[in-house]
Amino acid sequence: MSDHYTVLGLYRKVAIKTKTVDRVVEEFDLKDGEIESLTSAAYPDGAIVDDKTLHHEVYKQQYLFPFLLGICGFFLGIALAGGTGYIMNMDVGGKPPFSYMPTGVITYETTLACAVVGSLLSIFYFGKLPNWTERAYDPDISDGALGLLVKLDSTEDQDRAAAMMEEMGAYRVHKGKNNF
Amino acid sequence: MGKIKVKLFNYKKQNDYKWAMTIDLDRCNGCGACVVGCQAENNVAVVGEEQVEHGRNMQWLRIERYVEGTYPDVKVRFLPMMCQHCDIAPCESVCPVWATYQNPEGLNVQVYNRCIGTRFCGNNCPYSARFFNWYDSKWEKNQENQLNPDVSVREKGVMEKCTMCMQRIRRGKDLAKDEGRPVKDGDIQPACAQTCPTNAITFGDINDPHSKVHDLAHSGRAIRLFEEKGTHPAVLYLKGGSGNVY
Amino acid sequence: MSTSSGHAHGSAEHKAAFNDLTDVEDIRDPEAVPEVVRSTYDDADIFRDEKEFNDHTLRPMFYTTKAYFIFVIALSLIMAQGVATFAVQTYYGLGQTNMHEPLFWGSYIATFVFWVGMSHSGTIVSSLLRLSHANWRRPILRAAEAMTAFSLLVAGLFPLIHVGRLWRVYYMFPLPNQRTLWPQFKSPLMWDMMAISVYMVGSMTFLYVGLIPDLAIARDRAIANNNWRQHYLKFLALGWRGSNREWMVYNKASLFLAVIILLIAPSVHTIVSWDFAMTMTPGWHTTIFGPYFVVGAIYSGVAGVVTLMIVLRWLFKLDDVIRILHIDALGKLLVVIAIIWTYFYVNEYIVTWYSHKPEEAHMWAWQGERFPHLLWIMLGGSVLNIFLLSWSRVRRNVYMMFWMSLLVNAGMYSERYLIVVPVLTRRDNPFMWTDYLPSGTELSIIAASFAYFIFLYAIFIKLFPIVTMADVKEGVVISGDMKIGRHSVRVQARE
Repeated sequence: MSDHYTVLGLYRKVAIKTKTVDRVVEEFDLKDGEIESLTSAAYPDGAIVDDKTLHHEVYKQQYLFPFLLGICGFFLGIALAGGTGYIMNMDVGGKPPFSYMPTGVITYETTLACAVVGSLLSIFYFGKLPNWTERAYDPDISDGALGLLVKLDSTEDQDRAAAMMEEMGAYRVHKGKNNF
Repeated sequence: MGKIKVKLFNYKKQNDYKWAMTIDLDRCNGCGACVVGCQAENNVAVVGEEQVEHGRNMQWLRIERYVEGTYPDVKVRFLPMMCQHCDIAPCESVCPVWATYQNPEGLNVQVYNRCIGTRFCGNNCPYSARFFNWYDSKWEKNQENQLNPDVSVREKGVMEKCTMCMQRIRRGKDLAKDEGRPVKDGDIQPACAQTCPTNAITFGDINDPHSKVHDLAHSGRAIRLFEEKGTHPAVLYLKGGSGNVY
Repeated sequence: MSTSSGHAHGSAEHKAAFNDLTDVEDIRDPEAVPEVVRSTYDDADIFRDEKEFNDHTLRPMFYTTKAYFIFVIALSLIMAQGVATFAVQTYYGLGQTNMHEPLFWGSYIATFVFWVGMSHSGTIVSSLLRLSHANWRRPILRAAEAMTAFSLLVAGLFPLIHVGRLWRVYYMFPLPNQRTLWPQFKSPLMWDMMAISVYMVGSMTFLYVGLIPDLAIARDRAIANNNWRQHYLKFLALGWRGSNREWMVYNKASLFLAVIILLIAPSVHTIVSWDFAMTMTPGWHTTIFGPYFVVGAIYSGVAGVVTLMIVLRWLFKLDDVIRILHIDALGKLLVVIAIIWTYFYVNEYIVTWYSHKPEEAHMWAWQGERFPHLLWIMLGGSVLNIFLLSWSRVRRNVYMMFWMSLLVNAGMYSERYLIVVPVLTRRDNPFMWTDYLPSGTELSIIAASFAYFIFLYAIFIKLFPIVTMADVKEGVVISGDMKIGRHSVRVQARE
């Protein structure tokens, strides 16, 4: 992959930031994966960056993780509680090795356990976490600053975007390389 | 007295035994010889005075005394109580490690080495016939010489209970096998039956229609304890007449 | 996006007016409308500035007094004596307790059920409030979820303390081995072990996922101050930046987890109740035990949350974060649950009385005869709760709420004791009737379990942010004022 250049602008007001977003997107023709907003609180989807284009795949696919892992857990439970009865072949005085109620209980629990693990993995996979590398960030964001991060192809674009952000009211701008 | 159904599961194959025991309450005089016999045969720990005060007296077989009436019109009834070897045993299904299970001869067996001591089986036994090793069993000097080599000594933290003298059943079956025949009635006698001076306890294969146990079970005097629990015990009590009263 | 508020806007006329109000062009113009109106949100008084808010809520974490260390050392001493007693018990055998035939379960199991019960309100309340978008939930979520996780950790010890052969306890795990040893899944204990470990995984994950954004805030703070906490905070925060993508994924996963936890939690205490209900012991063998245990668990858990909230706000001066509003709302919840619980208990008595089964009737009579004080604390306390907490005056009085919540948990501990002990002392076989009170060994281990819980909590407070900061901030972001005629109505955006 070729190098990319980033600009992170910090704002204090949402309205100014959204104006900047509109202008930056128009100017540099940014697509999904090239613009990101960094906030300390969960703004509703689409409040800052248009949700029509941003992270579209997440909406459609995130449920798959808990769902598919839940199905795995279901079969794991049946295999664990029911199947091993046949494999281990205990001497039980003629009683059936498979019993419905325990298999049901164990299956219920394993299904949900795997779904929990699936939910956690979905955060890792779709949120692209964990990522401990140095990335564009400013500690002010956790104190309420609103960050606007864009990914650009050249240093000229980077300078232009930084100037634009400052002009639009960003109180601080960071320029970086390969740290989107 | 209804018909006694004994063949609940697949104990039906030829030469497959279904061990059962009858205890004639009319013959029992509460002498306690069976208790001592059981204790000696099965290496049951002698827990000592202090533990008995705590209610931890370990007796696989105990004589329960019930007093009826008020003085001076008092009647005492005796009931020898041990593991009832239920067909549908409440203790089995609650053990998380298969330490207790139903063996193919209808006995309820306890695997000491598997037991981890959750004590759930003891809680689910309506007969309170299961015992727990609260401490390691101690034997006084030279006493360990009288231990039965056929029976393991149990560790602390393990449940134990009447096995219907499993070691004697084994020996009887081995002898019969050497002679190439099925086990005959009377070949096997548990310690309690052997010791009983009034012959109140009878042991045998209830699947064998000619056995003494089979006759007694179908004599019309047989009852099971806590029949309403639906546990189908293999120990049958014989009752009737006005004996058993002193 | 829809807007929820206190008024109805059904008619076409109303709708037209509403559309006028929310004209897109107007909102987008920074000069015409301020972007977020924060004045009427409940948390506004603590939320003058986000930095100030962060400082304030992170204070318990970064600022430690000498008294804290003395407290933790005292707790460690109580725990140490518990560990020593447990070592003695393991070495010599369970005879150190007062249990005997046929009372095989005693105070250990009662305490186990108590701790599992305590774990139930945290995540249930948290996920219920999350799913129902109850706005007042925001600051208290973390404290409640942490309670779940830690009481489960404590509860998980009791089966180990209780078994006869601790060194063979792995026989219960489905580990493939050459000796064809396999756990028996028919046993309610296996279901129990399964359910509790699943619940432990679930509630820990729930707690952790909720923590991630706050860990990022704490991480930035620790790095700025060059605090030693930065090392693990950096690792645990996973490099969270609060990007739109992360928030989106996070919100969705929280929703999944809330639903899943809501499915797991009731099953856990139902299964714990089946440890009793699936036996054939009179007094335990009841179909009502499942729901009854679940309600009892939530009852004691909510009371535990109330106690904890009051202690936290007193100790760490969080009066403006954990406010009377929260105590009041939890008090209302407590009344409702107390009514349901009392109904279940009375129902159990009435059915036994009417069915006239001698063994059960005798068991209940014996319970009242042997442990009348426990019965009074349990039932009397619950009835007193229902009456007193119906008054908002009592609910809004912190001292009253503190003592009432302790009374609830004293009652619920008594209830667990009354379920386990009297039943086993009066079994089917009258020859084996007996009596039981816990021994010194048992009491010291139980005391250590309480110390262990408080210890875990105290450590947690110093290592992780105790207030759900990101949730509070979200509440501020999505709420504002809407003018309807003369009135200014508080509205909250909801997806």
